[in-house]
Amino acid sequence: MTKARSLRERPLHFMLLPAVIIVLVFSYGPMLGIYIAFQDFSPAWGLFGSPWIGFGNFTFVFGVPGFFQVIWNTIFIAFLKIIGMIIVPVFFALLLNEIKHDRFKRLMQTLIYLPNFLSWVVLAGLLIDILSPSTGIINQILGTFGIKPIFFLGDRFWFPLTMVLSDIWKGFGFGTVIYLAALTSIDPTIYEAAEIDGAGRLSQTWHVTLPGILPIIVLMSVLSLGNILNAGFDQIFNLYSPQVYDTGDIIDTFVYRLGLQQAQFGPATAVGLFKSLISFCFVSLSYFLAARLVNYRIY
Amino acid sequence: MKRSRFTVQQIFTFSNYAFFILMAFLCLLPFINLVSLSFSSSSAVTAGEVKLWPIGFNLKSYEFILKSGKFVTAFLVSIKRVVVGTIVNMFLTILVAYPLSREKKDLRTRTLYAWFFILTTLFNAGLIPWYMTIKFTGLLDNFFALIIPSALPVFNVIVLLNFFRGLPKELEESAFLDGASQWTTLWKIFIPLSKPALATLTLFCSVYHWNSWFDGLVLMNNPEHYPLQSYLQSVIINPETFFSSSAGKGGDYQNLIAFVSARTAKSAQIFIAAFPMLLVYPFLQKYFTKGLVLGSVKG
Amino acid sequence: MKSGRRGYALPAILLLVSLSGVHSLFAAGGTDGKTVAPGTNPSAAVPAGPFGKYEPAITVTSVRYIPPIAAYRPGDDINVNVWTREIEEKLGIKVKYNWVIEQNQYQNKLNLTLASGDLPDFFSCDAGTYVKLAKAGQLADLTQAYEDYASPDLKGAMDAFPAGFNSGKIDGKLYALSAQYYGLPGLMDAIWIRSDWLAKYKLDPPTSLADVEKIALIFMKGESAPNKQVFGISLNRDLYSVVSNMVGISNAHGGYPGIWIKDAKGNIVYGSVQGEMKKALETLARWYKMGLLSQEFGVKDIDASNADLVSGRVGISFGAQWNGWYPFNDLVKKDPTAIFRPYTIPSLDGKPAKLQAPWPVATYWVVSKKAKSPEAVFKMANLYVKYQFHGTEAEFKNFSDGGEYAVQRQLSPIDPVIDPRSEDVMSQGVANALATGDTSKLNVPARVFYENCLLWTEKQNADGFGRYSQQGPEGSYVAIRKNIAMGVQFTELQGADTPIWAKNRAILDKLEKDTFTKIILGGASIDEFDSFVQNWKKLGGDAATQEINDTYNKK
Repeated sequence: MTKARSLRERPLHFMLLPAVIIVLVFSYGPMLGIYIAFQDFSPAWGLFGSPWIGFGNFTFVFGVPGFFQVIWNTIFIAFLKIIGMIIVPVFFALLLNEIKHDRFKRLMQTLIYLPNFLSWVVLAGLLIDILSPSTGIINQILGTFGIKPIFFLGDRFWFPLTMVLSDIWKGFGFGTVIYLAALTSIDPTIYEAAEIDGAGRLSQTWHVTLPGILPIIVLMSVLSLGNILNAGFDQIFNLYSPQVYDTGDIIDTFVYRLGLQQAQFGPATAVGLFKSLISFCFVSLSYFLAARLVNYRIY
Repeated sequence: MKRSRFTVQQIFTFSNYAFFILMAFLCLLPFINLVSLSFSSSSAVTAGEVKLWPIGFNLKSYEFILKSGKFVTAFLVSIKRVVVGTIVNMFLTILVAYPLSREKKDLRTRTLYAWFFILTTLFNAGLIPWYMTIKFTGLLDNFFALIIPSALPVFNVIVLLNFFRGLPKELEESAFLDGASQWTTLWKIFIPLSKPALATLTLFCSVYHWNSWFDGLVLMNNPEHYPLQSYLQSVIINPETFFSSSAGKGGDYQNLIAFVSARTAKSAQIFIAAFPMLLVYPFLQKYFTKGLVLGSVKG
Repeated sequence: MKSGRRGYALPAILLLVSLSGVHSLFAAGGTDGKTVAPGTNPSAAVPAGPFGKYEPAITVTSVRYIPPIAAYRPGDDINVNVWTREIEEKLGIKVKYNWVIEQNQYQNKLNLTLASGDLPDFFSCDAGTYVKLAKAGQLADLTQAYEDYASPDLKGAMDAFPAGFNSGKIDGKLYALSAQYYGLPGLMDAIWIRSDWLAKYKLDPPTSLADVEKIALIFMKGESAPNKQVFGISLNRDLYSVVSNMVGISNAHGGYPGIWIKDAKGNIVYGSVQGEMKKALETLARWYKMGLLSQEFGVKDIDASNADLVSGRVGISFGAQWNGWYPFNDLVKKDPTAIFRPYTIPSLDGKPAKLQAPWPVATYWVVSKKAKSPEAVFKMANLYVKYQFHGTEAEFKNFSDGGEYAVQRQLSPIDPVIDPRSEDVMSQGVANALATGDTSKLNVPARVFYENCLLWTEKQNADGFGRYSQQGPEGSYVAIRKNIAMGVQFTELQGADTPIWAKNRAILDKLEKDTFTKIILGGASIDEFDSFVQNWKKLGGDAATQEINDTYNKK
């Protein structure tokens, strides 16, 4: 039995082999360069000529005033985004599922995915315009309800929320499409059974639909947890300003402003290493949680 | 008893449709703005006047970009990259997803392999080690430098392996009893059943290859080897970078200024870059509806 | 088992195919392209003189960015063009680029190339890089080659700005050739004001900062309408940007942000932490409170502040001398009467302000220690300086394509090497010619400028506006010369950033910008400035100051 089993196993190893080689060379190879994080690195000196400074880069970056606030901001914003990126697409998927007109449904699916194609450089200009407290449309609309103009991009309180909401607007199409596909794959007989049992539409949604797509929700959440410390450099970089650094600065923008990204490879790699370790912890944690609690292996 | 004119159901449906029309418009908004900018005169754009339709309609930006022979060369490089890159990506994705989707008893080192791949998404040593690895393998200035280092998209693998797991166990069991090898099972059973998922992942790969620009710029030594997005990046001067560059400050500004065509050209560039994907996406969309998630949904 | 054996054939084939494919992938097209085959530079004696031709021709390698303006002749590109042909023909030097890349990514790619140890024969880089390379022993000592092979014109260009030339030396040895710069007025700012509004409200140009305030208020009141909010002075969130900045305003108060200056005792100190900046910030905070500055300036980037200028929401901006090219050009295109004109930045007391000037040299030319013909760099530079600044009509036409003379020069493998004497002289000639109509004394590049200006003065063609607003008789150069007459606050940091400053600079700049913005917005009182200074000193400012004095203030 064992021989047969290992005979069956061997082709699997062969299948994995090409990818393993490529990944080994091109993903693990560069990882050796992580020791730049411990060097006072300059391109002029190269990898072998740059002096070793141990944890010097780490103490340098962590010692900059405000760094810990920045970490907090990052986690706060990223966390809200992850939650938002689950609730909103699921909500839209549920609504979209109710639409019976097939063509309209498909058209909507296409259209809501569109903002995803654009980069933040483009969207930033538009957003700054719309959200302006003096000339922007949003505030004009709020004005007709008697609400005073809100400086969305310049107010410490509103800025993080604005970032979360605008990012959701940009990206919800992606999640919606996925959840919608999941919805359509739920066995219709379960719905029929629920209806026979007397469940109304809302009750059906709560008891049939949501549990039905729970695994995919868990999968998407875990996958995005790996990004917990990437609260969205492109977006925030194009929209923030000194007035909102307090609450809007995230690790990557902070690092960028310190010029670390451009010129100081040592500290930049150190920060990258730090982020990777945190992501690793989060992903491992969520993997085990998902496996234990929901009995669901992500990979 | 007075009958209300509309049932709750009808009100709900009506507002649902209305809601989506509003959302669709909001999502279309940036595109309308973008296209208008690209066809407008630079004065109107700098003055911030262009919102939903072009002001000072002209085709200058498009001419500027399209009339160059280099555009055609770069376009062809991109097509080649998308085709070859997607094939390589899908080939490796399938070869990795299948073994990883097997039970532990069928592949004992499964978890080890899984973590081997996952870790590469978490740890990254930065630009210099990446570049040096590619240089070391002799791929600099070679078309395949755009394909091989990113040959295995781990996210896609995770999606596909979940999908494979969801296929009915009876199929593979009966194939096994019939004496089919792993390869046959994969080729004759799993792949034909996975068409929707494969189509979706093919789209993701294509979009990735189509949109990449940084690797093309940095790894190629000559503009003839640039894919389209890299070429487009090089053609448009970004005013912000110009103004903060040494040219802007040191007085070496003369000619650059005359050509800071700024946002009109940039908008045209973005639109040209996104356009093919926008055409392709709706067609592939119909595969999504059953797409990715069949496997993850237990029902 | 039969099927088992059959089952192995397919994967084996696949594996072989993929392996062989991979091998050929690595072999095919993976030309190194970086090393020059040995033997191409014969060990013949170097031809004498600044323009001596190499026979037989030698090949030198370089790398460069692709100039965004590509006025190529048909069939030419960055690798083969007017300049490369001329250099080969006249000097016997073949230039081969290991790579070319678009401008924004040049620094990135250069860093990667240096990190992998692949220096080309010669290339351009910034001060910080060249110092590190020299200290690591990677650069050739050019002192003797300069003496022997630099032409009199090139030496003249170097002597015209000795600080620049000397910044390329370490311990007296020349390791980098400074690209120099275009002369003082090019580095400095003017105050740009809507001249049509001045006329409309019958106002004279400002002679003091108080005048500026008055003018701003009148513009604001006069131009505002129910649906159009107009404010007085343009400022964007960058504070020191090339348009809508606070530099000129600071200079008016005697403050010099962002540069190093000498204090009364002769020590070098940082401008941003001196007491005069406090006064400048007080004024700005007061202006903000009055509504003279846009209430949203803190989020406006340069695009947004340009939009205000070009759409008539503000009529005053402190900015670079070349702003007539951008963004004011765009306004004139829309409305030929909406003209922003440059005026002399005034100080508090009615005299022109003493303005600051940053370190102007951004590019240094270096030669790798392994290069076989290091002097080739000077010969190419000689040729460049000759044609660009001292050429005959025929030579000039050939290399400028008759039009804007800078277009073709960007194709030269060594570009730029600027003669600091040139543009000032040219602009004075052009201003005179426009005023008097006498064009006899104009040299070739000046004549190009002149004709460009005529496009505006005679035909109201916006394409000529930029040049006219600089070199015309009412241009920024004329306005700035009045400031220069009061002296120039040139930075004392004349070369590469010193290590502590380089490392901490970003942090200190961030602290500075954050604090200044908060003070102007009224989010912090003016006394915040004092605690800022204390912090600045603690966070590395004092250490940097000490180091800079040690390097640049040797008495």
